[in-house]
Amino acid sequence: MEHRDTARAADLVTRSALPGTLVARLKQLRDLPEARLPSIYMTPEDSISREEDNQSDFTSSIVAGRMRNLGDSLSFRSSTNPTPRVTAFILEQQFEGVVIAVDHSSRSFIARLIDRTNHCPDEEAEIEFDEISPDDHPLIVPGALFTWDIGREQDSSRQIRRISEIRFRRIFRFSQAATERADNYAVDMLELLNEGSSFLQESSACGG
Amino acid sequence: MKEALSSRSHPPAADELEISIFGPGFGESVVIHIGAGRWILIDSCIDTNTGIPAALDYLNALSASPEAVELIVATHWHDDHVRGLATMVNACSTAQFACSAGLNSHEFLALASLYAECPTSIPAGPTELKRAFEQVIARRKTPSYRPIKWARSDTLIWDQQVPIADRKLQVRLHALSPSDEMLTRAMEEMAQAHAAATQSDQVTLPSQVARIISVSL
Repeated sequence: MEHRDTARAADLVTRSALPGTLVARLKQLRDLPEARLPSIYMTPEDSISREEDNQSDFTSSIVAGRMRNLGDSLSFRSSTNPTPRVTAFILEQQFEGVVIAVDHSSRSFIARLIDRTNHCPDEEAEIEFDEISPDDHPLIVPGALFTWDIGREQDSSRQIRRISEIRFRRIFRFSQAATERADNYAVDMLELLNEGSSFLQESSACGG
Repeated sequence: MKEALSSRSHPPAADELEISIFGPGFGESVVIHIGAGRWILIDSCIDTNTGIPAALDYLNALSASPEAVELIVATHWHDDHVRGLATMVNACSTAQFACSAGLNSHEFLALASLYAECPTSIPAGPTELKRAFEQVIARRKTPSYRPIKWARSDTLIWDQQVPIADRKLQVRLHALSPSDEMLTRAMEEMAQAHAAATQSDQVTLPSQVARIISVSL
């Protein structure tokens, strides 16, 4: 079957040897916007409802049909075939996680999950490596941080998909100045916190 | 939490021991009346209805003064147990504050300071404890200042007599952990996390386990 890209299905009517009923169908084809015509295939006569029997949209009747070899018939498609793009993402729940332990033999890890959406109690979960993008696998180490987003994604074709995505924190480095500030802070605080205090084992009087 | 508060419209009697447990789960914050209008608070969580620590909300509902709080204990830094802790420490200006001895280290304080500057959103436990420490330090020059109690296993955190009627009740709070082994592991993990934070591209947190303290009353 020869394929030809065209934005106008009607252009091919006269070049195809089609059953009479289908020719009659195509004569009534109206020009549809390209975006609504990602691909159209000729379908055999018996898979298309006749005009007098079905008042449904012409395009939907073609797209719903089955494909089979039509000999000299042509299939045609529009010249543009845009990939549906994500137009909306509705976040339903978000967790922040910390890896507690990793088991490479079972290819899973234990993580503590903090519910950022509903503020429910922290939970622990065992997550398999297969749930994580391969690029993030090297980041799965004890203490590693990640976010887990759960929600619904809608694309430009109005298709809705449920999404569950775990992404590990990466590409972050504390500056030298921040590190020095933190160390200086720690030195000062340590001195202040232990001024006049001692570990409990060394003190004989408790409670103030 | 609204149901718990409405069920108690008056404070406990002077000779009444009361243990109140708050939290979205179970035990994220514990409020203990040890007698004679004196209180001990263990951990903190936020009442989502009011936005303030559940323990303070409860005391306020009973018309109990925050200054009647004798001791605040932070058992560990999980978010669901420390939210609002610094606010609680600030409000209870005369209370003793106690937490794990594992937090009394350069590495933890440096990490908490770094995490506070972290532009990404990470668990806030260490930062909340840092703020609680700063609240205590801010009272250094005041008569109400009480140095932090650094808790280890099998040690006494608090030991006082509570006058009840014509008697005195001895109240003690023991720390059951962390053990020496847990403290050693904690120090090692925090040193590793500190080194990782300053040398690598990955933000990590030390393991939580070694920082937990348990108490018995």
